[in-house]
Amino acid sequence: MPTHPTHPPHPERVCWGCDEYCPADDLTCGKDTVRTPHPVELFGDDWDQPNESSVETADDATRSRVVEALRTVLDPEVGINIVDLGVLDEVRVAGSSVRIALTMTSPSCPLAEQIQLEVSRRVRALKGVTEVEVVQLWDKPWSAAQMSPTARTTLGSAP
Amino acid sequence: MTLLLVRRASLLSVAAIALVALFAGLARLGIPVSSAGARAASHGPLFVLGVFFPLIALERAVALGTRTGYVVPLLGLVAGIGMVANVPALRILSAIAAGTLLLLNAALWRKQPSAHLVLMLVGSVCLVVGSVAFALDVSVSEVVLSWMGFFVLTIVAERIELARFAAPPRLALHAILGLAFALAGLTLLDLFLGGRTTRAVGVLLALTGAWLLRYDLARRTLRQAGLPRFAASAALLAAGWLLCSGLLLCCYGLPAAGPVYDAILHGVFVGFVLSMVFGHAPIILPAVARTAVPFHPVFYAPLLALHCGLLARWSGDLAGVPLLRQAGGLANAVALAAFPIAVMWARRRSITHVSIDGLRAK
Repeated sequence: MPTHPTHPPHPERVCWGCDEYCPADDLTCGKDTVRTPHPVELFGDDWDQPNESSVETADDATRSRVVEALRTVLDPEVGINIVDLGVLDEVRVAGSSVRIALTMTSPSCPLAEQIQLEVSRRVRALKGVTEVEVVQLWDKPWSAAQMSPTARTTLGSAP
Repeated sequence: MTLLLVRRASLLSVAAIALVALFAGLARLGIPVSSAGARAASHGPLFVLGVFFPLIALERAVALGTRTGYVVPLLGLVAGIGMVANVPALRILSAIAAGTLLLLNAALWRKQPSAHLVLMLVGSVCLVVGSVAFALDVSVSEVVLSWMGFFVLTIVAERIELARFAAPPRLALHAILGLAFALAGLTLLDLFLGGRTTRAVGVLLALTGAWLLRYDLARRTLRQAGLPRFAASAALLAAGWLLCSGLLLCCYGLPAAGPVYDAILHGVFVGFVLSMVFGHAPIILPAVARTAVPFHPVFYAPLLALHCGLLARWSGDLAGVPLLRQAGGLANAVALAAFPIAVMWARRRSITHVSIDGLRAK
């Protein structure tokens, strides 16, 4: 029995409806009035590669749990969590290690250290996390555009 | 751990200096307070240089996160203790401490440049100039506007930073930056021109208060619950007092002493600065001392006493009723003493509740 070729040179010349691989205009089986196209014609050259965005890995699951845990860390002045405020810049997970980058709103704010400690404490408490690194980023300033629509509506900055 | 000890010890020292300054204030009001009469003259400078300045410096040192940053509040505290001990020679330390705050703010600006940090820098220039003049024996009534410049610019800078959450119109942001820079310039000019720009400073203070009432984030966070609402209430009341004090300064100028002088100074330093301190203490204290301060509605009691006391003081000052001024001053003192007690009570209560809940869970 012929094997199904993953990248045939001329997929349009063959009907790919069964494992007979008849010429495109034969249609002798009578199953259909048009030939069945090859997956490469429908989904492109990488049709046989696993789609990374649709397959949730263990790291992705941990990342989601980290973000949810950080929704409980509030900025006490405005009463909104750091995820919605756009302070959480990045979460990187590698096995049981988590690296979190925060874009603080101002270098003159004394709350930065407290928020950093709180983030570390909340994430360390998660099951399966053994190592947590929290860094503050100062190379790019925080902007109101980083806030979630919910936060913007609450604080009145929604357009 | 050592730094945490330094922070906590600094806070306790500030509280002790505040207590001395408070008694000196009561003595100035004519309320008999044992042994405080000798320090009555240093009531204002003690609060400005020995209490508010080290608090702000401590906040900035925590924000910078380096050991050297703590030199600033510590120098300020030594200068404050020098004032408590009536050692005028130590006044120069306040000026040096103010200079180091300038460097600290510059270090923060280098970390991430922004307009509000430039305002803080300019504000610390006002403090340096005012404190140098004070060390050179210039009277408090002459240097006080430059001190006001420092506090108003520092607080306004913090409010501008917060206002970004509500994204105010660009024009409004430019307006407040212009107002603040002009205010700094005029308070300094006032010192060198012998009070010729005082009324203009009043106009700028009033406009700054009005801007805060219109665009401050507190208008939004007032709709939240708990601590954000409490901080917002304190901030909006503070802005109201800045507006009123500015108007009074604009109408009457700044006499060297007397009821109008009393009303303007307490309007700014109690109504504006202290109200902001009350509103932010439960937010900043956990960050500085790493101790939980759970919010409790009882915090509103000292805040209310502070503002009602100030209202009575103003009524007494402006209507010429010394007894009302005294009663207002006393209420302010009670409010200032009651606030830390309320905070400690709320903390103790929360610890007890957590323990009981923990036992129940077992």
